Amino acid sequence: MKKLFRRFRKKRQPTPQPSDPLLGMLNMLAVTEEDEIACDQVFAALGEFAELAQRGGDVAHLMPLVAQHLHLCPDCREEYEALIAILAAEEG
Amino acid sequence: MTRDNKTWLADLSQDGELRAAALDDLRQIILRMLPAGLARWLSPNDEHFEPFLHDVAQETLLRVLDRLDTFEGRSKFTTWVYTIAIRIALSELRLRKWQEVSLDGLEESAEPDQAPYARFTDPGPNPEALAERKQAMQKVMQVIDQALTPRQRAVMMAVNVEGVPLDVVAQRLGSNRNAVYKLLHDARLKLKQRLVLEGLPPEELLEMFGN
Ligand SMILES: [Zn+2]
Repeated sequence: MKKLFRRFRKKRQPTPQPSDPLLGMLNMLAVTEEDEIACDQVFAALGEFAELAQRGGDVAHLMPLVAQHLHLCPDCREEYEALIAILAAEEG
Repeated sequence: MTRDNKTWLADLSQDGELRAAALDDLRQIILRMLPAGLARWLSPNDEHFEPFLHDVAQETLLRVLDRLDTFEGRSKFTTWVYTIAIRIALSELRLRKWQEVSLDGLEESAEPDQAPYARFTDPGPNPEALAERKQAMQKVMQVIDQALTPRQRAVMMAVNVEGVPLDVVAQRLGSNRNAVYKLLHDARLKLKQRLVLEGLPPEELLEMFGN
């Protein structure tokens, strides 16, 4: 594992990190639930979620499982942010 | 021409001119709108930008046609198309960005590594609080060590400590993003339950560490 980290440090490009990895992990554990939806279900709901957010809807309340997943999954979160950027551009 | 969801579906579902026209319009929409979504990842001035954009648009159209019957009408049709285009584009960009990085640790049975937590034990202002933190810290490390399988530990380290995208982990493991998320979810649940059992619920730890 040490080797792995060393190699990461050398080659990887900067990515957004929690200020401390362990704090980040504890934060994730704090919001971890028994029932969570995985990426495929989020993908199916993402358009609806983003349009609702765009209209100022209370997504955390109306679609809590999607909101929670986006909090925990960096890949889906990035895609959500990209979608929001497009919808914003679409509105002009 | 603007179409509502029904018209998009009707036009794309048939053979002939209507479909060709709809595909053409959809391609133009993707080419026009996708750059806004990719701005953070790829500059339009990048020489690879244009060819990449066209590749993604083409791939998106194929996937849209292939999955037309899975569109549930829960959003605008074009919004659904954007989600597909974004997923294709970002998945590809993630793999490209990380392709040079070796992730052997994911396949080895990884040993626990103290390095990412080094800052945690840095001297703080209050020696007593520090000792308490250090003890809690060691307990957390021990739980991570005992409760997780080597694979869970390695994936969690890669994603949560090193910021490796789930897509990239999935590719290296010959898996998919959905399965990697489930693996991480299992790992988080197990850790959380063990910490609660040990009298160290994550919420209290966060408080102790002065979140
Ligand atoms: Zn996800």
